[in-house]
Amino acid sequence: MKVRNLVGLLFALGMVGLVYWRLQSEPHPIKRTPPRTSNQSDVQAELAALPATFPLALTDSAGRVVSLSAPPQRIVSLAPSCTEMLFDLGLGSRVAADTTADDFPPEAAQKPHIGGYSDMSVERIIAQNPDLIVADNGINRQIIAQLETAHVPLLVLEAHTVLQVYDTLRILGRATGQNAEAEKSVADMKSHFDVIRKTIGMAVSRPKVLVMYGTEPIYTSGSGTFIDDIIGIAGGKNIVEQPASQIGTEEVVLAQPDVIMCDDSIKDKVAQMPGWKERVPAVIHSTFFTPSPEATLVRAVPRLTKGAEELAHFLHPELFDADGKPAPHSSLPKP
Amino acid sequence: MNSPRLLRILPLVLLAAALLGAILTDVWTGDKVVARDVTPGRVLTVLISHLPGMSAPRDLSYVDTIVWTIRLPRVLGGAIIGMLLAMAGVAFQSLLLNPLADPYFVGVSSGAGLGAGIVTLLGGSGLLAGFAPTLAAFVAGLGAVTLVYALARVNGRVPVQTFLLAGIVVGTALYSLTKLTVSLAFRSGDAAKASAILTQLLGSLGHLGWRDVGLLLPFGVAGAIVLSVSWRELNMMALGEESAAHLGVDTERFKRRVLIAGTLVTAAAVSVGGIIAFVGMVVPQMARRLVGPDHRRLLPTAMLLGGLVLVGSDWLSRVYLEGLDIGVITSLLGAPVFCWLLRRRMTTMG
Repeated sequence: MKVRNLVGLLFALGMVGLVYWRLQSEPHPIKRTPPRTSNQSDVQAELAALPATFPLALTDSAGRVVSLSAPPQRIVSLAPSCTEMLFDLGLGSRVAADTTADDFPPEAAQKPHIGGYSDMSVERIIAQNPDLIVADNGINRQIIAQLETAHVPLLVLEAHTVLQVYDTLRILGRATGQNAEAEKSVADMKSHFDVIRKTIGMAVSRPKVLVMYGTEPIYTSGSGTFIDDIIGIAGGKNIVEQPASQIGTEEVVLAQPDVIMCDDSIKDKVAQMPGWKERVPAVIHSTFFTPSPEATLVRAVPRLTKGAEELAHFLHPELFDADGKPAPHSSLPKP
Repeated sequence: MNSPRLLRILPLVLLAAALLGAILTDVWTGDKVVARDVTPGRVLTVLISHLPGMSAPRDLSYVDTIVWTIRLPRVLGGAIIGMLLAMAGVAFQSLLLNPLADPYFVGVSSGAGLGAGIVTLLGGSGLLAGFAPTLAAFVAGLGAVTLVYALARVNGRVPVQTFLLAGIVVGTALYSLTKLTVSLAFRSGDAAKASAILTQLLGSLGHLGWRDVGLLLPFGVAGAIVLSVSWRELNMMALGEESAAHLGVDTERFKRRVLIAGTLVTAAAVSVGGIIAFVGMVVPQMARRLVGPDHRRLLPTAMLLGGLVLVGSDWLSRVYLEGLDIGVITSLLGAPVFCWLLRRRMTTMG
């Protein structure tokens, strides 16, 4: 019996060793570089150093090296923001499929779907026979691993700040051969933001803003996010000054936000928060801000400029005329 | 003269054939949307093309990816996980003389889930060639079962009822700690990490690749060997610990060995497929009804049946339930069986 135990143990150890060796020697399909630090935008220089034509190998936002032999013709997008950017770069016709959450532009909803944003089907992705898959940083790591072992080029885009939105546009432009379109998109965004900044420059007040995605707990966006950037551009002040994603009800009462930015669907719940009706200015005056369906403040896409314009108009109506353009009496150049 | 022997192995042969059939069916059929392109004929072509000496048909490259890179490892991995859980279930049930014992109810699954979750939270899932979560799951699972054992010990004996109670208490506590790791991952702003741990909590096969099959295999083989060579002792333990001791079994050592082996195979299954409840309890029960209590036949029968149940549930999930996590399916199917067993046990005892 002792001998039998020993044989079994040795065999088991041998098997473990064998598999260990096998896995170690298996080359990982994707090279990785250390992720870029979030506040220095060196993507532009990196992309400029690449060869002007395909084939090329570029580094995505997750530090993965993605090799592309030719401009992609069948692109599968795994996130609403990616789909939107693809359409923005004039690649709408090359989007083979997207997710059920992709609703902008309206054509995106007509594409075949590979599942939802958070419950996509890897089989459906691969059945589209794509030559490029674009995902955002919310993608499940296990899906990344599966797509990597399937050897399909996968570009992961991640934008926390406005500067990173520019970066992701440029990376996507480079990967798809639409560099000029990407540069134009970035320039457009910048000029829109500049106009807003200049208009707002004359404002005397900086209304305090709270962003809310849910009430229990209160999910929000703190510093280091594009929403925080945009609140600043639009002439507001985010009450969440740290890089936090949650805030307590008591902290909100202390911070006294003048405006609450949230989806229409949770407005009633926000108004019901204990004590807010009596103590929080935004609830007392019912100053809730929701971007129009044509604008966004939650997706890292060029349409953020529209959201920023609407927010600026909401926070400082005196500086804009009725249709949202900077008021004519301002001495600034018009867009 | 041959017929009793034939009769003995017939259920095994039938089960093995059924498992093979289930594996093929699961690979053949799938998602309605994909079904148009991935026809049984093409699947067969792809499978044949991977035999030694054959070359892959170029025009079917994405069907090849679906079948060979996604479906086959998922189905084989699922079959192995089912076998591991059934094996662990047989071991725990025999050792504790309790048909309700399984890796989930004695706290091993929750412990293993916590271990793997912590490694994922700390970003170490790739360490040790991918074995790090399994190792952590093993250590935490062993810790959990030791704690349960210590809690349940009354006057040097471990009564069945207190053992189950202790198992549920420890299991619930560890499950809550695993939820804490999800919360921490969310708070650190790493949604991808949080969803990885959450998938583990739910129990899912959707992400399995060849690497995972490679991770599972050695544990499956090692556990199967340790438990198979123990069938005589397991049979004697079924007579009660004292009788087994009289028959020459070093019961304390033997219990330790089987607990460690059971925990090891559970850890492997949980670190790869997540917490898949009820399989470890229900499958050994079914196997017992099929072939009786002799562990020489019970162990292989339970293993094959476990593989069959998991592959079947996976097929159900992929074809009809939009890829619902398999842990949810086994819980939905297993919970009524658990209630029935509990009820029956109470009436026989009363």
